[in-house]
Amino acid sequence: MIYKKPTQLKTKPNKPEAEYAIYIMSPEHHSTIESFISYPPLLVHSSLSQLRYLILSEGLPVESAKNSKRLRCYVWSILSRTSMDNCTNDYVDLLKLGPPQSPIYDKIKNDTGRTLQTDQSFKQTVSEESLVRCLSCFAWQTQELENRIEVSTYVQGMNILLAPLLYTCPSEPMAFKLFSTLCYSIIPTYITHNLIGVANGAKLLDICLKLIDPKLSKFLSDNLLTAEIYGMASILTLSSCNKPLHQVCKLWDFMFAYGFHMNILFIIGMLVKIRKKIFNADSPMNLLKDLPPFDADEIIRVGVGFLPKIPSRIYTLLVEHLTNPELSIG
Amino acid sequence: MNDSSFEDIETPYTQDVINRRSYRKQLINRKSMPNIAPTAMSTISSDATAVPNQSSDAYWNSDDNFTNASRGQHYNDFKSNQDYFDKVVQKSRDKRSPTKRSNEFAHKFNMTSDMRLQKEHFLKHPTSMMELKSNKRNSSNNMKLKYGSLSSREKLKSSISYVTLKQPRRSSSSVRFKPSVVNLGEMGSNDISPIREADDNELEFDTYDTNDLNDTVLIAKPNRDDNFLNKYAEPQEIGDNIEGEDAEFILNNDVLQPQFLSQSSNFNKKSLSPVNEQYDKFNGITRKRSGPLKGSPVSRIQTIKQTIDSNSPNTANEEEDKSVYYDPASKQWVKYVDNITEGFSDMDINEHRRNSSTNRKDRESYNLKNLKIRSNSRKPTVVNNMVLDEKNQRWVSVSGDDPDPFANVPDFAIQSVIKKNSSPFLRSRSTREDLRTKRVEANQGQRNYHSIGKPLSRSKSQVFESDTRYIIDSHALEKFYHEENKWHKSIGTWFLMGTDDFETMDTNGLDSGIQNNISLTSKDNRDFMYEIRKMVMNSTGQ
Repeated sequence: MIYKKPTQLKTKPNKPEAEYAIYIMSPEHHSTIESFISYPPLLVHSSLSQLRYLILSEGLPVESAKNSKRLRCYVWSILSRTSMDNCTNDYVDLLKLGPPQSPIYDKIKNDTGRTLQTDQSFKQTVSEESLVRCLSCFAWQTQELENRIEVSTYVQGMNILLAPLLYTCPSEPMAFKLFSTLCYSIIPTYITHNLIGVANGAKLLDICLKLIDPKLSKFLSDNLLTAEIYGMASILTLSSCNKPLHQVCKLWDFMFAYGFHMNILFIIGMLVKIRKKIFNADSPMNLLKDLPPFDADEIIRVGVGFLPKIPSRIYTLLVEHLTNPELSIG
Repeated sequence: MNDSSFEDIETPYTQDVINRRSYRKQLINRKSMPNIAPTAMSTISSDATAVPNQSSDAYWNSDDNFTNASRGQHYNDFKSNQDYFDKVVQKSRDKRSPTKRSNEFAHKFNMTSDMRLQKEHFLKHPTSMMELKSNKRNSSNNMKLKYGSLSSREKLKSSISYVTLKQPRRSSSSVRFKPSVVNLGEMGSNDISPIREADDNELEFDTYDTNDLNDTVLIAKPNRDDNFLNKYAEPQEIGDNIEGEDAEFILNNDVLQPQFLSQSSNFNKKSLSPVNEQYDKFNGITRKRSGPLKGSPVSRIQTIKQTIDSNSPNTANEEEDKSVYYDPASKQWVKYVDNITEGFSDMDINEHRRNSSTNRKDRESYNLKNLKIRSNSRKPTVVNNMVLDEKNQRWVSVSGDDPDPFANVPDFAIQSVIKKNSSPFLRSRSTREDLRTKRVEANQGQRNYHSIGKPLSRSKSQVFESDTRYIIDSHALEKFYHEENKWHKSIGTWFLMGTDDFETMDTNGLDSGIQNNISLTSKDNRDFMYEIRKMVMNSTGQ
């Protein structure tokens, strides 16, 4: 594909080359990705690779402006190959069914009221009703499906998973569509009845932590703090339970591009960033269950930096544990 | 003439003709409507007339249907009934036995007659209750000029007997009613005793603004009984004005004081039989204003006491006292409290108030309805082997085995009220549906999984309570479509070639609609997940 340089770049005369490069990379000009996705791809596969690289190199804006959110939604849609065609009709059809059966509906209502209540921007953007509607539609849709993987109609944590999508997407049906792709296609093992994917992810977190930071791993294990205790929430919610939300979205940009298996490494990156605090903490668990605010770029950089330390076999397990319910890591 | 307005039609009539017609009209109306309280129907018809002002011309316009013959006939009828009115006048005079009063009355009669001749062009026929009310107000205002400030309208609702009993500070000399101006007793202020008897000379009609006077007052003057009879318009007014708690007027024991009721009823029966019929009609429902008061206050109080003693039952306690009401027709106290309260026992208090605030006619019909129910409660009505079920308000078979014709009809399932209104900016929904249908039909042969999918248990969902969470307003729905359309315009081209690279697995269990809209990642297409590792490994040289 021939990438057309944005017109804004042409209108900058007499710029030295270095300054020109800086101009391209400046965060207030994200027209690169926007322009890139606005052109039809000649080869989808290669265009997707290009888009991934643009996300890695430039990143999407973190502003909460409507256009920025829409661009992020479009990018997530392209990267996850989620077509929004007819999404509104499908959503409304499911919505017509109303609330799901009582136990599911009660669980949903019990959780939605507590979803990211400390995040003011989320509270202002997403209503509880939207969360309830989307989760209810997902429950109905799951009942209709007979997937290879028995996905639960609702498990605790789905509300947090849905939060960044509703926060980002310009409409509920689009968020619901992305959520469906995420649950059915990207992390189906995470939302099974036995949460086998999350359990495997916890085991992999322990393994990877041991490989990456043996000292911290030993400290935590000496304090009987395994990943199943402190890392379940971050694993299940793909780190969306951590704050701030706009940084979560940026983290998700990368994971939509290169895979959500990277979440395990990103969790380790967050732990490594506060390892001194953990060592000095009287009660490390209090620190681990409520991780401090993080910077997505930093975590991505750290997480990607862990990759050389991960053996190929473990990396395959990282990739597989998201979708393979038969995988059992001992 | 064709272009002339309604008013233009009246211009050929001279004032003289109008005056003569006015007088005839009054006579006719006195014949046809002998001081009977106007019905609600008459009020309505009056309101409906296109002549809202009270000018004499306007009234005559509505009487153009009268022919001269009919007018003559009515006039003859009136002449034939002159004796009747004379009798009434005579009786009225007899009631006020002193000669002085007769002289006063004669003087007043003459004065009124003179004034009638002078002011005849102002006279008009009270065609409706509304006019009566307004005229009454006008006359009250004139009285106000003469006697000082008037009391509030609420006082007009109470009976004279109630007022006289509840005002002990009246001096003995002041407790005298002008019989022909019965309302004065209720309209008085504190400063000037409203109940003092005014000399007939004080009623200087000439000093009144005759434009504000109404014919009813003036015509009633010659006959004192007429003025008394005009009171029968008051219950109608009261009934019309009753609201809320005023509706309890019927059941209020304070109001149901019998002091002069028997006398007034006697007087009515003796003097005016047609009016009595009307009076009796109302008697069962409301307490009527008693007749004119006579005698000194002391003697009147004694009379009241005697009347109460002779008419009131020996009430042992309050409860028993509340359980009776005075029937003026039979001049007896009758127990009825059970009947009254029975009809209201199951009523909501708000409903009761709402019903009470309606006009008198509605209230009467309502009471009748309750009476019917009460009668049913005691003695079930059987009509053609059907009995009225009071509780459910339906007719049931005596045998009890009623076939339900709707037994096999299922209940209507409440559907969601979500509206799918399409935006003008969007593609037509019908086109989309067609495309989708075609897509499904095209894949029909390949999809053996269509019947494999779990059947939806939608029966439960169809009876869900209407939850506002699941109702999306049209504005939001339009926004959804708008965003979807925007997505199509922006990046729809990324999906034109299909998503074959990603959608190659695990679609067997999917519903046809959902299957087409959910992309699943195959094992073979997780290469991108290794991409970052390759990049890092390549960059580190490993």
